[in-house]
Amino acid sequence: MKAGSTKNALVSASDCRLGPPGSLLERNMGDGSVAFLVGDTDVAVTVEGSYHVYNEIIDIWRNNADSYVRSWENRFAIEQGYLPSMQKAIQGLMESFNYKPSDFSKAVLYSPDARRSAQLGRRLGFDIQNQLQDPLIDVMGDTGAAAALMLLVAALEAAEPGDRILLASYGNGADAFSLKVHDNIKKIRGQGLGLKGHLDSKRLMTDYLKYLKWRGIVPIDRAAGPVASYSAVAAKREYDRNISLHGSRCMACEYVQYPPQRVCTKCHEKDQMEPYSFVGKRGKIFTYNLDYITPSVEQPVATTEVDFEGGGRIQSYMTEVDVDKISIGMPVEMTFRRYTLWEEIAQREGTYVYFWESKPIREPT
Amino acid sequence: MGSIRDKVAIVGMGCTAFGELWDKGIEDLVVECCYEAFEDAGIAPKDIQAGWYASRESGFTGAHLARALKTEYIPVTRVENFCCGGQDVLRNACYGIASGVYDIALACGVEKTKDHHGGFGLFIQEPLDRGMTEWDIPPASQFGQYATRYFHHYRDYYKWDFEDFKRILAIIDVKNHDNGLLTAKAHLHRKITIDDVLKARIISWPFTLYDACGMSDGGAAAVITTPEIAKGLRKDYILVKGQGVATGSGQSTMQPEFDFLSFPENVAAANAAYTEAGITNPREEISIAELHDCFSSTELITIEDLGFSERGKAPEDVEVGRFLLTGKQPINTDGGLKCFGHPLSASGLRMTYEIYKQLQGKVDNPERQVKNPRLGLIHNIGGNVGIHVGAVSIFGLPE
Repeated sequence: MKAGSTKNALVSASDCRLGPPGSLLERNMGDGSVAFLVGDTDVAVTVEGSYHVYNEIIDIWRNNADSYVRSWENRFAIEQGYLPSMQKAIQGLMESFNYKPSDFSKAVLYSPDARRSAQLGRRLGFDIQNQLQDPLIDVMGDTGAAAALMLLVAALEAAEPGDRILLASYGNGADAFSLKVHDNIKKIRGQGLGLKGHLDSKRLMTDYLKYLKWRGIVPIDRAAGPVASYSAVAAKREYDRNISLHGSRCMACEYVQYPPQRVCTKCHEKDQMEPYSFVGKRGKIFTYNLDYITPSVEQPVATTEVDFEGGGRIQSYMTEVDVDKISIGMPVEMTFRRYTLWEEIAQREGTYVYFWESKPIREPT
Repeated sequence: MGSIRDKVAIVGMGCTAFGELWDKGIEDLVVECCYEAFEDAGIAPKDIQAGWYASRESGFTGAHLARALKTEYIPVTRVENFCCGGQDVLRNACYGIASGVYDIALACGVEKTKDHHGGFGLFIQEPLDRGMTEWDIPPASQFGQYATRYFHHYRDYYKWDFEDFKRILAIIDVKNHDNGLLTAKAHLHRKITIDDVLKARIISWPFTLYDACGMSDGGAAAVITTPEIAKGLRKDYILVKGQGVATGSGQSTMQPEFDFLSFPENVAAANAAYTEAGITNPREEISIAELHDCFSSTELITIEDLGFSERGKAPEDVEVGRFLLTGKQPINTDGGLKCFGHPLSASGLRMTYEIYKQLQGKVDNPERQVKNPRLGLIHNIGGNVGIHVGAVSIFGLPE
C-alpha cells in the first residue's frame, strides 16, 4: 500500500490446529478465521505505527507431516517465549512513538490461554479491568494465527471514533501495532454477523466422538461406501456449477434453472441460456428428508429441495442441521463446504471434493 | 401410435426364492428361474430364439444369461433401467415378438445385490462423476422427500399430524408383511403389528425400519410368444394388454412448481398403459396390482398416481382395507418389495410372476389366491428425484 503498487488489499488469517486428543492444547485451541480490507481512502481504522521483534524458540510447532501440534513445556513457552517477546515489542512501540498505557482505549493482546494476556497487561501497566480486550478463550479458544486479528474485530465492534487501540500478536517473536479508529467505523459495523454475531449464534457440539470423526481422528463406519470415483476432468469442465454455483437462465422464457442446461426445462428452446449465479441468494426448504442410515460423520444426513428468491430450485445436502428446527418453508442459504460424504473417496484418491450445501440462515439469537 | 395389446402372450414363468442368497451366484439364479419358465411353458431351452437380460450390478451385456444357459449364438440384449429394469426387459422382449421377428423369446432379470456393499451401496455420483445419474441422493432420502411433502400438504385436510400419517404407512407395512407370510418364496416372513412399525427406529425420517423394503438376491424370467403359438402350448396363457414407460428429465428438481405429491413418471407410464389396454376406470377395472413399495409412502402415492384412489384419498382407502388381500383391489398379494424382496432388475418380472399365477388361479398358496381376477397390473419406479423412470404393465387372460 505504501509503495503504491495497490490501492486496496484483502488480508486474511485463519487457523485450524489439532492438539493431541485429551491434551491441554486440544482443550485450549479453537479454529477461526478473519479478514480485513485494507485501502487508502475512506478508512475506518489507520495504522499509526508498529514495532517487531524476532525470537528464535521452539515452544509450539508442527512439522510438515505432523497431524498434531507439538509443544515444549508450557512454563518454558510462556516465560521464555510469549511474555518476553510480547513485552519487548509493545515496549518498543511505546518508546518509538512516545506512548504510555493510558494513551490506549483498548489493548488487544493475543493470549495462549485464559489468563496470560492479563498477566502481560499488568506487567506493562495497563488497567486490566477497563483496557484489556477479553481474549475470549472460554468461548472460542486460542485460534492461533487468526487470534489477534479476531480479537481486534471484537474490539472494533465496541470501539468509538477517536479511540486508539494497541494490537499485539505472537509467534517466534511478536508484532505490535498502534491503531486509530475513525468515524467510518460506524458505517462498516453491522454489515455482517461479525465476531459477536457468530459467537451469539453458535451451536454447541456436545459429542466428543462426533468431533473426533469430523477431524478424521477416528474413522467413520463405512459398511456401505459410495461406489463413485472422482473425475478431475468433470471437475474442471463443470467448474461453473460445482464451484461458482452457476445455473442458467433461459433468455427465451426467463426460466432460472440449476444446474446449467442446454435445452430449457420449461420452454425447450435450445442454447438460449445465459449464466445465472445463485451465490448469496436466499431460499426456502420445499421438502426435505433426514437419513439415519447413510454413513456419515453427521447424522442424520439431511437432503433438501430449495426454492430460491428470483427463481430456481436446487436439490442439495444440508449442513448445520438442527433436527428439531428443520421444517418446510425454513429460510436457508447455500454454503461452500468440503463434502464429507465423499471423504472415503477423498482418502482413497487423494482428492478433496468441495461443493455447495444448504444451511439455515445464521442470525444472532 | 400402435399398441402391444393382445399381440404377445406369456406362456411360461419362473422365479427363484428371494433373500440373502449367500451361496448362490448369478449363474444359479439365471438357471433356476429360466428352467422353471421353460418347464412351465413346456418348451426346451433351444426353442428360445432371442433373449433379453436385465441387471443393474450383476453383469454387463447379455453374456451372463447366455453363459448360464449355454445358448448357441442367439442374440441377447442387456437392459438396464434402474428399478424398472425387470419390467422394461419384458417390454423390450415383447416388441421382439410383436414385430414378427421372433416366435419365442426369453426375458430374464437377475440381481445379486448382496455381493455389493451390503445390498445397494451408496451411489452418490455428484457432483464430480456423472457415470450413473445426473444427480444422486440416497434412495430412502429421495422417496422420503415425497413423504414429507405429502404429509405436509394434506395435514389440514385430514386434520392429522405426522404421527397419524405414519399410522397409514404402518397399515401398508402390516398388509405387505401379512401377505409375505403366505408366500413361500418371499425374503421376509414375519408377522408385525402397527405398533411394531411406529416404535421401530427411524431410518430415514419419516420412515421407520418397516417402511423400507428388503434388499435381496433373486431372479425371475418369462417365456413369451405370439398368441397363435401360445394356444398350442397352453390354454391359460396370459396376454400383455398394455405397457408404458416414462422417464423424467429433471423437472421435479429444476422447477419449483413441481409439488412432490406425485410421481409424474408414474402418471405418464400408467396413461400409456391404460390407453393401450383400453382402461378408463382403473379403480374398477384393475382386479389386482403389484406396486413398487420400495418405501411404504411410494405405494401410497402410487395408488393415487395410477388412479386407484382420488388425489389425497389414498389414506382413506388404505384405512378401510380396500387394498388388503380380502379387499376390493388387492395390492402386493405376494408381500411386495417389502417382504418378497427387491433385487432391482428382477422385481418387475417377480411382480409379473405373481400376476401371471393369480390370473391363472395357480398361486402356490391358496390362502392368497384372489378370486377370478380379470386384469392385473404391475408398477415400478426407479432412478432419482426428477429423473425417475416409471413403468406400468397390464396383463389379462384371453377372452
